[in-house]
Amino acid sequence: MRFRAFVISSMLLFVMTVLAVWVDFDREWKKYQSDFNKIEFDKTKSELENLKKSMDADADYKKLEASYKSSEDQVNSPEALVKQKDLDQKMAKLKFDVYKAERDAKFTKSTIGSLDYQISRNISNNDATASINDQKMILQAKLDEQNKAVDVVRASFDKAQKEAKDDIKQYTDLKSKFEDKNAKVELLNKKLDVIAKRPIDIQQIIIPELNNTVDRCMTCHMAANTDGFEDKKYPKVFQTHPNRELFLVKHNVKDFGCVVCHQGQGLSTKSKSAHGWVEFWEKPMFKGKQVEASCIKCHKTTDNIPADYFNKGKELVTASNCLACHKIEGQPAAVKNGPPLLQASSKLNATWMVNWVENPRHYLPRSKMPTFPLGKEEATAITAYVLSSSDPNYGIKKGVVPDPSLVGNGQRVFKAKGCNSCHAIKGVGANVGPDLGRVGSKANPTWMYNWIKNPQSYHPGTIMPNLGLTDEETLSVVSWLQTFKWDNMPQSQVDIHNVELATKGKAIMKNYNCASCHNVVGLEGAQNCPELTGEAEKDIHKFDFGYAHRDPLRGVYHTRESYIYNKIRSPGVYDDFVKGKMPRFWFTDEQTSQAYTYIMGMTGKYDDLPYKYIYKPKTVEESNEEIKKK
Amino acid sequence: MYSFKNFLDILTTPDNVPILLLIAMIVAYTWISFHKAFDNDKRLAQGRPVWEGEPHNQEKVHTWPHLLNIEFIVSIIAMAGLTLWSTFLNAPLEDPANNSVTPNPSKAPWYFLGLQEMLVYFDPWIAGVVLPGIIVVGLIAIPYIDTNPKGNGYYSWRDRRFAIGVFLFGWFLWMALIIEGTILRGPGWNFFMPGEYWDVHKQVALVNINFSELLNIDPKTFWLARELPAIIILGLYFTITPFLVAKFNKKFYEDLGLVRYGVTIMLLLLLVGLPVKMILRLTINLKYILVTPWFNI
Repeated sequence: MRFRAFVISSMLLFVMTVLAVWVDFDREWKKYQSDFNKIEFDKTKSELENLKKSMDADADYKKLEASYKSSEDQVNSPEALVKQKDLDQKMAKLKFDVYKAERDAKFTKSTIGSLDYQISRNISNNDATASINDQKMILQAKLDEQNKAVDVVRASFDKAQKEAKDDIKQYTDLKSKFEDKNAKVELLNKKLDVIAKRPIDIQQIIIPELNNTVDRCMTCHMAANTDGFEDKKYPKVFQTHPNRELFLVKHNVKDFGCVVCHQGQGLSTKSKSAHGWVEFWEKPMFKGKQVEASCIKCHKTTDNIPADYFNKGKELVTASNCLACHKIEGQPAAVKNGPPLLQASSKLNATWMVNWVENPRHYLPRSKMPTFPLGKEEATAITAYVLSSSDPNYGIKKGVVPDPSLVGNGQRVFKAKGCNSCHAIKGVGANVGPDLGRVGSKANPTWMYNWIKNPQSYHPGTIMPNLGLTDEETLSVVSWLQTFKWDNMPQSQVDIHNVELATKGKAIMKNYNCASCHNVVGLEGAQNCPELTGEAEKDIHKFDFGYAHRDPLRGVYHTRESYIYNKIRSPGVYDDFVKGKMPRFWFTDEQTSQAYTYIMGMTGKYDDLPYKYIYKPKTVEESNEEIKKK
Repeated sequence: MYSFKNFLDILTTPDNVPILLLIAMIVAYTWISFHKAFDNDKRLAQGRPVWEGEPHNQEKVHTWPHLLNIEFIVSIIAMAGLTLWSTFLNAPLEDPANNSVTPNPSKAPWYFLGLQEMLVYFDPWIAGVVLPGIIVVGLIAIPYIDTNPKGNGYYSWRDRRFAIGVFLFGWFLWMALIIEGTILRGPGWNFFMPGEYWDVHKQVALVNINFSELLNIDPKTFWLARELPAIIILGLYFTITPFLVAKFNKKFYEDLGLVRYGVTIMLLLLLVGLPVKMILRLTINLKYILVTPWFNI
């Protein structure tokens, strides 16, 4: 019984030990390497076969091969071989003669050397040197003679060798020609041999300058730095790095490695953890083109490098006026790109404005203004403040009343003057200015009249041109546009004379930094939101994830990447705890990814990288010289 | 907020595997010993010898090979288990170390979690120094205060009800503290029900007040005057209870004698005092009973 227990437990221990060894031995990357070796072997083999086939089809090659073979046979014929043997013996004798003569000369030369030493020693000891000098002179004469003798025997050896060579010149010429033609085949054969004998080994790059980075990516991505695997038919893991010349040769992979751009866990040899998609790894690999975020680490500007995705993100950030609230070091402060609200009360319908502030997209689906996290009450307060504080007396002409009889004319003028090349009507037309399909519920006719007459008098920065319409044309257009009403506009009551409401509205506007984009009476804009310089390096504990630390339902994970991406896409996602101020820009996934790429370039890492890694633009002289050379 | 997955995540954290083994082993060993003890009790009641006293169990054998080869086999099995464990459970790594961020929750190794749990209810000096010291001293003192010859060499519940009962009370208390500290204490050392999501933002209304404040005594009063009721209550707890126990259970007192009885009852009162204080904290938010300038109880 006890013996049986012993046997079973020992076997158990043995199995466990074997299991442990096997688990340690059976690594993912080994499979990748053997797979790749097989692929590369097959590829090389087929290349070799193709080459052989094409050479077989080549008539010249066939002819050369035949003449080479026949001359080889000639050289190897019995008579020729006997002759060759005699010649070899003769040559060996001559060679030995040369050796003997050279050996004698060497002895004499070394004796002279030792005499030289004695002479210099005697000079330093103030001893006599005359007798040794005499000896040296004699030996010198002997050496000259011996050297002459060497020359003589060497000349006869050279002559004999030349004769022997000339004898088989035809054959050697043919041979070298044939070998030249066959060099590629030989090379491929050698390559096959190398691949077959290649050991399964960890491949790594160690870069002491970059904080002793160790990147083992090429343990699996074996063809990343090899031409010939660009084709999509190869598995993705074995494909050549896109634009290898630029990314792995110009940026020498031995100096840069992989992780410095792609991020991830270079030391790991397991697929999932190497790409950094494991818990607690703070820098997961960038997906696809998002890797362009890394360019900015060394290139201070991406203007003349192919980082389109990054640049698009930058454009998006500028176009969305992110800099109105967020500071980015080195980027100019934003301009106020929204229309001024200093005279808004002469323009806007209060009910319309409440709806607009609540969500601009209700009125204008392609609005440039983002949607702020505001409720109806807050929107009402803001409307009350803006309409009560602004100047209601805009414009030279007062009291414009739309004339129903001019509606038809207005439509004609609108077309004739090309208004529709910027403004759409109910979705039909260009998208430069706002869609005017419901403008009758927004702006009052007097304002509209004065605006069309001279847009810059209301908004000096507007891109709308002054088209020089006559009074009648203007009135016609106004009359026509005023017929477009917002059906089913949600109704609301705004008491703009309620001082308390207006004061509340002012506070809300200050909180949401409205004055960063609009000119507002009594408010100043400020870049008082979190600074984005160094955002991509910000400590993860400093992000307010709300309750969404690990919330797969919201698609939010506890990583810097996830935070920034989701904050750009739908800022309200973290609002469990503190109500965020950031409005929603309704970016598409693509746009979000671009903006994210730009923000992830905000590493502030310049100082950590050694100087040699920082891109230094060429001076004018240097580039001129380069052009001259070409 | 509640899900079985949350519970499973916590149970299967490589840190917490020893706790799972611990729970299984507590149950198994308690069951085995009680099974044997009840069997022997039955035998004693019927007037038969205990199982260990049966003639065929009286035979004496040599340590080698009879004991050592069992131990050898057990050690082989243990090694096989450890090999399996270390092969498939990786070390539980967390975020990269950051000297400006303290991990939340900050947990001691599992065998210290009982102590850490006690720190919730007691002054660090009491929970960290005095009580562990008394536990060690009390364990050392057991052979001197428990001179009951019954139960030597055999399992029995009937003959050693007091000793086994008190030991199991202390043992289960300690294990419960460790298990609570491991499985039920999350971020901020807050209490989380099994399966509840360990939310770092969880807020719990915990305003704890001292005993003197319960009696509406101004905290600014001189401490001796302020703590007089607490001193009286603690004094009564440690003086009157022994007398009452001795009076109502004279046999217990007489069996032990004055000194042994005194030491035993003091250790017992301290042992009972621990959960009493915990219950007072959980029910009436009592912070400390006695607050002195040097230590608090």
